[in-house]
Amino acid sequence: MTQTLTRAQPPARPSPADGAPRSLRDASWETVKGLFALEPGAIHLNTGTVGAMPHAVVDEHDRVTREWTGGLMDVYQPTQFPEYRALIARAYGVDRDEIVITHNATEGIARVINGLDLHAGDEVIATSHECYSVLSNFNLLRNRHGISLKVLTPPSGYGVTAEEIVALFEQAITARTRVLAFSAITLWTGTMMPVRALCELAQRHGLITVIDGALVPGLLHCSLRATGADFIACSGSKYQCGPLGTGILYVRNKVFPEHNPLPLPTVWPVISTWYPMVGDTPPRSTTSVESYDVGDYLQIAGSASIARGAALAKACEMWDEIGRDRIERRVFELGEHARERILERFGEEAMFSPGADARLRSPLVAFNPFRRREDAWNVKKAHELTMRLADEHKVWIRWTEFDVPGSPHQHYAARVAPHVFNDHEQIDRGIATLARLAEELS
Amino acid sequence: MTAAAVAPRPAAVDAPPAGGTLRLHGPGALDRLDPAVAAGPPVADVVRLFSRQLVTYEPQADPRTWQAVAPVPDVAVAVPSTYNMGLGASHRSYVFHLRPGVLWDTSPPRPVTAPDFVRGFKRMANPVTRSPALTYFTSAIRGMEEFRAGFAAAVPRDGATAAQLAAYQDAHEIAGVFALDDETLVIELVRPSPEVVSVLALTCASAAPAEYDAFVPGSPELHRNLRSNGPYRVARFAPGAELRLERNPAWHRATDPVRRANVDRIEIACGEGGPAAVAARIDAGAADLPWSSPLRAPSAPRPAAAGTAWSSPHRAPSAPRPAAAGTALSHALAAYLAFNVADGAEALRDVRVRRAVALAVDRAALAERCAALLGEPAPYPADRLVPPHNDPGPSGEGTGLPPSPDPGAARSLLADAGYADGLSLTAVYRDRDGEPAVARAYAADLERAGIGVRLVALDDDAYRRAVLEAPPGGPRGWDLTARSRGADWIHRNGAVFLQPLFATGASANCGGYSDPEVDALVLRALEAAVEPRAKRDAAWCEVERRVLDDAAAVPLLFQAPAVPRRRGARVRGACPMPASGYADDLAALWLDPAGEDA
Repeated sequence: MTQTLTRAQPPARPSPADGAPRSLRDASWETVKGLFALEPGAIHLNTGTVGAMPHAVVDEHDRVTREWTGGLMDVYQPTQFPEYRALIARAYGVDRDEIVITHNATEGIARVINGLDLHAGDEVIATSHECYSVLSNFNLLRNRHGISLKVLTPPSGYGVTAEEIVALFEQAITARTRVLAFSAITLWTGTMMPVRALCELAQRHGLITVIDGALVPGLLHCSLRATGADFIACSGSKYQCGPLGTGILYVRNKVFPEHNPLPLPTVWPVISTWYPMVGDTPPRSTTSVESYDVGDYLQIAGSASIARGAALAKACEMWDEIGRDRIERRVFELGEHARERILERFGEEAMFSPGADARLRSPLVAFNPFRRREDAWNVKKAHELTMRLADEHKVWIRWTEFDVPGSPHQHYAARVAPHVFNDHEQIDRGIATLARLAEELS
Repeated sequence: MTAAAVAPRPAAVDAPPAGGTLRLHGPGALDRLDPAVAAGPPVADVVRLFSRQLVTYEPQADPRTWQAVAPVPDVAVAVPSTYNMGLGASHRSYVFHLRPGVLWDTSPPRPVTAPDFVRGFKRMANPVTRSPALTYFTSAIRGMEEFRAGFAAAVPRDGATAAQLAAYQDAHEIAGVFALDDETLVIELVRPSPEVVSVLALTCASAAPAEYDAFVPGSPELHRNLRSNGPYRVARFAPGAELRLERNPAWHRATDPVRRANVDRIEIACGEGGPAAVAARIDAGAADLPWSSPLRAPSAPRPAAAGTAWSSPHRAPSAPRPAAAGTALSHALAAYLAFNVADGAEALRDVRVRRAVALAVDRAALAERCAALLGEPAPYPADRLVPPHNDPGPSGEGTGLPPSPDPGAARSLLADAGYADGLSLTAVYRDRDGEPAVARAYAADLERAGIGVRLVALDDDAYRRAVLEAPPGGPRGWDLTARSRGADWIHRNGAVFLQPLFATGASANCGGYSDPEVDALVLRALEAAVEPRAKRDAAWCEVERRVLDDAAAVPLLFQAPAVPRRRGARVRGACPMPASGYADDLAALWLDPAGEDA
């Protein structure tokens, strides 16, 4: 469990699922690896981009697709996903009315950003290390409504501390600031942002928090509510290993003073068939009891893929079976193993991911694999390394791009992102192969 | 040719017959073909035929479409974007991957490489020549201004040798322009600037082969040794008189997504005579296209709104103007009066004197007197510096320019400034095209306000040396000159009529105007590049308001573009290029033998 996100209450044990025996809680990691649909011989170290689906999830998707194909059943009520949302909500320490199954993190973030009640002159603070979807949607608001967007470049490197990051945000806040937007874990450098500390900072200033939590589901065993955030947009297909085209959106819909005492922020469900055609919604709750199911307003937006929702729920159910606390420990341990191997081969100076401050470590490790410092801004080498690793060695990693404070160059890094379907031997082999190829390209 | 020229291109144009010699005739400048210097029409229109850029424009039959104003890949494989590995989220780092198979016409032909583009950028910043577009680059690209300043400090402008220039270029780098390898070029910006892609489409951003290091930029020796990577190469060049282009055997259509290169040869002959004479020559079949003189096809519809409504000097300057840039044809600043405040008459450093000049000029009368000499459509009085259909649109607050001349008020201002008895100024002009008529007209207006004007006619070379290239500060022998300016690009072009003309030390700031407040406003406008359009426009409007208030220049005439242009009977496939003043793309045209009998 990380120090920056708060542990959830253990979810109620779900009923056994097809292909997911009760023994999964005690199953060896070798057994767990066998649950995934992976290409034989490949080393998949790129879960930060997309995970591998378990066979049971693939089967569930297929089963539900067939079940609903050609039928005359009512498709609208099921696409409200009441059971699936409830299951996912339990896993993340929240309630069904606060969870929306989306098509991906981008959809979630876009619906939140465009649904915020922002006006000309309002200021949003984000970082240059956000996903494009965050920056492009805030830029849309800038062009459409005249908001001001302040983009900070967070520090990167082995020695970065949580206090530096919080201070960077704090110094940027002005009287016009309305929103703090940041990632829970940055996809470029794998920095576990000090989420709780940033949310507390936002609360002290009366600000809305919008978090890109694309990497959270399936990796962190946490209570979304306890982060104190207002909105967290997540992917269902990365660490949660659901189908592509699935996401989870958390929308704070109750006021728990111990987590976030601020009033609920206004959010306009900009894509919805549930928003009233006449009149408006009831007042937002000011207590821990919801006033209405904001999740429904966001969830119900025409027909949806029931199979994708079912498959995502199946993946979540499997995670609950295996134990989310257990998964988190395992993935972080694999990440630490990768970090140690990378440090041994490339040294601290090559690291773009934090290391010294354990609070900022995630299992995603980004680094310059090349001998020369200036190769860190050579996109061609980064791209060639990634492509050759995949094509010639079946090792899947990703190159990432980001700004570094004080540098005029766009930086590029190799990023490894292990998951439970990896093991130590794979990580050793993958990084050794990467090092050999990088040396050749250097 | 008729208005059909702006209709969708007929299918037959996709495979037009090749061959023939395209002939252009007119009084336009034809002095220097060095890509490092060429940045605007008409010379740039032929430079792009033998010197390619990273990005350029694709010819479109209808110049009003967005495709006509959006740069497309040229030597670059793609326009960098977030989704093709070319543009980081910071929008300050552009990666260009070069197209394979683009060759110099060397012996043997040699690939165009990323270091060739690095050399091209260094040459552009040389201290000998003065690219009028250099300011766009030095203000946007990291380290380019430092490179330029260092170059100027290290190598004397007068008497610089090719060896000196090449040695400096070899020993110094532009921090934000570097090659990752032969096929990959990185350009880093000092701030996000979505306009930079349009800047890189200017011909001065061409690649330069290593052979150019042996010659001084813009020199006769360089012009005798021009290399080509485009569809044509220079077969004969007599500056000021004649240019003949022939096919470049090292160019292959498959490596050029833009240039069609239909005709075998292009011949340009500079000749005396005004627009009427050029038109007569075209109509008689002795030429196919005008060279420089804007001549609209005789049956073309009259331009809307701006070209006619503003002929009334009494119309309020803040009245609604035509639609935004990109949806209509961009008008040009056909004439404005530049003051030599750096080394001209002392009186011109007094804003009251400059305002007196602005009050004295009768722009409406000038438009009428010069109508027949400045081509078609007829120019009309300018009420601000930025012509219609360019950014920024009018602020709605008016520009302070009087709708009609007021010699009395001008005399009063002169008296306030200590010139109650008048003063005498020297105005220079090029002795060709409509420039003498413009000079005589504004000189007469100034005389009525008590400002004597000594008119001095210069040939192209002398004018260039005195006005365009000699750095402001030394005695250059002039106080006033009328200049013109078209849009260097169309989309998001708030900078083009303001920054190069009025920023301190800017490349088209021939009079040496310098105002820290203007510089700060220009910087603010550049930094507003990421802001919504209304804010960007407001920032540039503020620059314009300040320079007009300071009478940094006097806008005289606007002119709508000549679309469609007057063309000979055998010319087909015309595609007016907005960033080239709507001149036809010479590589897209083809000649219909049947037209000769029409």
